[in-house]
Amino acid sequence: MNRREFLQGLAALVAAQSTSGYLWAEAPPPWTLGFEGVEEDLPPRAMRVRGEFPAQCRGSLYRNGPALYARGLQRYQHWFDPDGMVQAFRIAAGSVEHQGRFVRTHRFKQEEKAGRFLHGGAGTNFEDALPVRNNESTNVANINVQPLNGELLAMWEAGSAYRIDPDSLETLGTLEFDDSLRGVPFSAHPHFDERGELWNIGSVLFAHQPTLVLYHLGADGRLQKSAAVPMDFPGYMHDFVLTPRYLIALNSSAVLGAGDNFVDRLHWEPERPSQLLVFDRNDFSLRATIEVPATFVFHFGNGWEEGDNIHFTACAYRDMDIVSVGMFRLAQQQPGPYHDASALVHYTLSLSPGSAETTSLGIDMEFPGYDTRRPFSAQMLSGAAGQGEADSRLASAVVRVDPRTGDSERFDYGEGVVVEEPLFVPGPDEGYLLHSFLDYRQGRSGIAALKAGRLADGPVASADMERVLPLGFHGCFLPA
Amino acid sequence: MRNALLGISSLVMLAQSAAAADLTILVTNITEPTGEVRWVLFDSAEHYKADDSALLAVRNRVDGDSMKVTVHDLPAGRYAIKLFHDANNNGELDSNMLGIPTEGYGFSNNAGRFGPPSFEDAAVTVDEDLQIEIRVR
Ligand SMILES: [Fe+2]
Repeated sequence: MNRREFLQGLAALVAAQSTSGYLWAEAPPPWTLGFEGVEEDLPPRAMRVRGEFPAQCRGSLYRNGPALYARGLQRYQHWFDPDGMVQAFRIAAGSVEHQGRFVRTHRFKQEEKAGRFLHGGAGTNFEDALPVRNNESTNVANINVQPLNGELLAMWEAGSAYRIDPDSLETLGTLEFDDSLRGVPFSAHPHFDERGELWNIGSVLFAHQPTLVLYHLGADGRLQKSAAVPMDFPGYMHDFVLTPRYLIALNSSAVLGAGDNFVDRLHWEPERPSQLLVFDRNDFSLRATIEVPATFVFHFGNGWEEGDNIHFTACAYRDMDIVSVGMFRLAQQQPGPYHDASALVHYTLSLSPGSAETTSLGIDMEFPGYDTRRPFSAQMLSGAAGQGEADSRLASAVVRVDPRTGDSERFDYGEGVVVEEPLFVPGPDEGYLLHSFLDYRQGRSGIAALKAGRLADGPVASADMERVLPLGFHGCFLPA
Repeated sequence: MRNALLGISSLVMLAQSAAAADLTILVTNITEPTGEVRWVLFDSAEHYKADDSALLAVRNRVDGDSMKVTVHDLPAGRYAIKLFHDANNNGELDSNMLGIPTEGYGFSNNAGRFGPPSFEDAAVTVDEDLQIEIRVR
């Protein structure tokens, strides 16, 4: 790609016209508290603890998510847009403390100095936006936080990962490999293999030649190998599946075309089959391209192999309305719903010849989690489920499901509590699920632990505080 | 701050005519304190597009986050500037494996939000002394 083509592609990341803030005709629904955002770092604060967190749950729960919604009169319009804030919940015997700190991205520092947003977001345009150097110029590092080599990585999906100090939450800089990979997207859902080595994709939809970059990092964070693979079309891609032998990415039918910003440029093409791209982990060679009916997926459960078959699960959507409508309405604090809930689907792939079978498990979950000590075993998946919040599609329940049978258990907090990504924590019997939540009626954010296998009993321990955190995306738990 | 032009002074004393004016270029948002800003000045759309036969090609050492340079006695007319920040002094606008520039660059009028600007979008009219700002993106 030459510079001209690149610069033309930049339209995906740049603002074109202004959008005015949403004006209320009547009182906003109470769940919109989760999309108010915060304006400052959140200094350490002790939380109110109920019950006793099991010893296995002592440590740090880290989370990341969009947090800075506004500067002055400018306000972001889409959930993808706000600057990321890394949250730490430090769980000790008898006490829990919370701290939040914005990721000091290049962009954050420039805009903090300027006192305004200088560039548009993935789904927001500002009238006086400045031209950008490249995709990295708009990196807000707001999707996920995961450990690597004693540090944390705060990740976006169209730029570099930012390194974070796990104790102070200070930003240390970007994760760099070599000059050829500078600023090349490092997506937000890296996966660890059985040896603790890290695998990731980088989706480069905005290039003249849509490209998928593949990464393999050692446990020390050093690059083992990478590849850049041309794609047939620029379909939105967020997560992928790792199995003992393969890396599988979904080129979805939400395809980048013309428009005013990244989200506006995504167009749903229901007649275009989505592609499962199956790569060999050894050399990143493309082993198969398997077409499936048009689908949209953010997140996959873990992958495993049985003989020559590859198995995994996906939280699948009928279309891309969650991105093109729902995430605008949520960030703009408007009542909904505007999109369908996701449904858990079990995929079985065979490579010779390439084929895919799907089984719907009838579970309305998102944010799949599992025991990451055994990433390639068929095992129970956890997730956040959407029963109680019909208005917003925000999850109110913690769910656990066996992807082989569809058997499930759940605990529903009911309307008033939004459940965020549950994480599996090993422990006696079947272990625990640990998740953050927003109790928007009380105006309190918190965390809770439930016993896996006994979800219906509700939390064994929880902690909350008179501090409302913006609803976020993903994180990790690091035991003490 | 003010940087001396590295070119010899006669190079930038372009005209003796009465219609000549000075063009001052304030380069801002230089985010790394190393290397040089390399800039080229064009007086025609043809040369600008072809990236050759620049009227001026100048290198200024970076010393801070901004610099100011003046071209003296420029004949009245339309001019456009392209620049890049060669932070590592290798003489090139570095790019990554995708061909995406990783060093800073800019155009007069700060034009080209959706791609490299045309000469018309980047051009400024010089008929009296003029100062422009180019923000390195
Ligand atoms: Fe995600």
